[in-house]
Amino acid sequence: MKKTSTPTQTEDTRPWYAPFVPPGMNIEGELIFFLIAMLAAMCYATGFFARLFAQIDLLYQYSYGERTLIPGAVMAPFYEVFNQAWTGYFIVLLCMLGWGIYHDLYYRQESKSIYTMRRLPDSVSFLRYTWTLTLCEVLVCLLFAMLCLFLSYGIYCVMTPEGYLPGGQWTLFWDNLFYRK
Amino acid sequence: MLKLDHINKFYGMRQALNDVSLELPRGEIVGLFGENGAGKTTLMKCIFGFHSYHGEITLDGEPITTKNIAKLSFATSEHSFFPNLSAATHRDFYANHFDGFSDKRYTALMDFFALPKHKPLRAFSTGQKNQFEVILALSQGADYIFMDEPFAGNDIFNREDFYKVLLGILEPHETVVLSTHLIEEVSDFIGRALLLRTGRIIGDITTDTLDGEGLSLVDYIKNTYSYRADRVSRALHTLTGEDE
Repeated sequence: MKKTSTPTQTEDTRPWYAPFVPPGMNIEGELIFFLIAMLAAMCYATGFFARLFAQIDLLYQYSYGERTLIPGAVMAPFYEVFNQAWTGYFIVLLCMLGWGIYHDLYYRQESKSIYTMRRLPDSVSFLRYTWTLTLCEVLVCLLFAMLCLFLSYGIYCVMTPEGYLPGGQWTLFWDNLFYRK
Repeated sequence: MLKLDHINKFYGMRQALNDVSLELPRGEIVGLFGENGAGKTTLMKCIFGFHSYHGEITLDGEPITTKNIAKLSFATSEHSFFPNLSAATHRDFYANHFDGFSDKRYTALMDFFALPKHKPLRAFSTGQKNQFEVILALSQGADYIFMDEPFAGNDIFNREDFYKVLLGILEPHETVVLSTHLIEEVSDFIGRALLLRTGRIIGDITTDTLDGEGLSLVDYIKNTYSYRADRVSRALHTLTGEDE
């Protein structure tokens, strides 16, 4: 039972997101950094299109100004065209994990509010305040990385002329990702 | 009852607490005294689990966990508030997390100290920061209120007024453990004195016992610490070659 006086006096005036960010921390800077970093990652990912069009172009021959497909040619495998276009998202992800560590350090700046955080009776609260925003940012990064991968693959399949797609694309992709020497 | 059983704490090779055993029942105002580095702050931080230690600390027979930690509050001279938040937002934060939070006490103490409610804490003076730290600790609804040098930077009038208010507002079940160097100031307000020296409890006495023996708290502390009254004259003699 709370010893608070009237409901109006105890009404929580904090913003809706307050339980998900370190108390008093200005998250604007972090969000702006995140948005700019995501835009940069997206720009980096668009390099895929340049490689895709270059590889498609290799499937054609030019004779007297006429463009025709080379019979028996095979499109470069997806992993080669994709060429880790999602790298930018993983760099952003690592940066956001760094911000997460900063959230924890924030409780030691100017005061030792870490003492208050560690005294909270709800054991989940400390983690919620410190890591929710980071977790969301990491999930967004992963989501965009996956979208980037599958969208790129879809575009690769649609843009490659029929009959020119090599087989075993995903095996090649994962092999290249995990076992590349 | 808060019970400390054979608490030992090491910082590397240095022993900060040496076999400290204590019982703190509810309803006491305890002064915790000792020179700098005696282990007062370390002792408090061990109770809250901020430091690892050897030994056992229990509250009503249970180890201190998230289940019962709300029964303990902490005001520290290092300050445990959030500098960017206002006093009003702190109140919301505490009311949200501590079921026993007393808005009545909080409001009364805020009025008493005349602290601004909507200004970020970082803009407060050192004295105001100390006062607010103490207000939060007293309003949390804890049974055990630990205060570590809470009034460093406050003027004497504020401190004396605060001791009076403290005595007036404390409920019978509340215990205050006050670590301070201002021995003479608090001697009239505490009921028990604990003396720490190099991490060891060297004195534990009630003020009633002191009164019975006709000793002042300062004398008791000086006796227990084997204070050498002639050390000033000896130092002056060494430095100047003349008698005091």
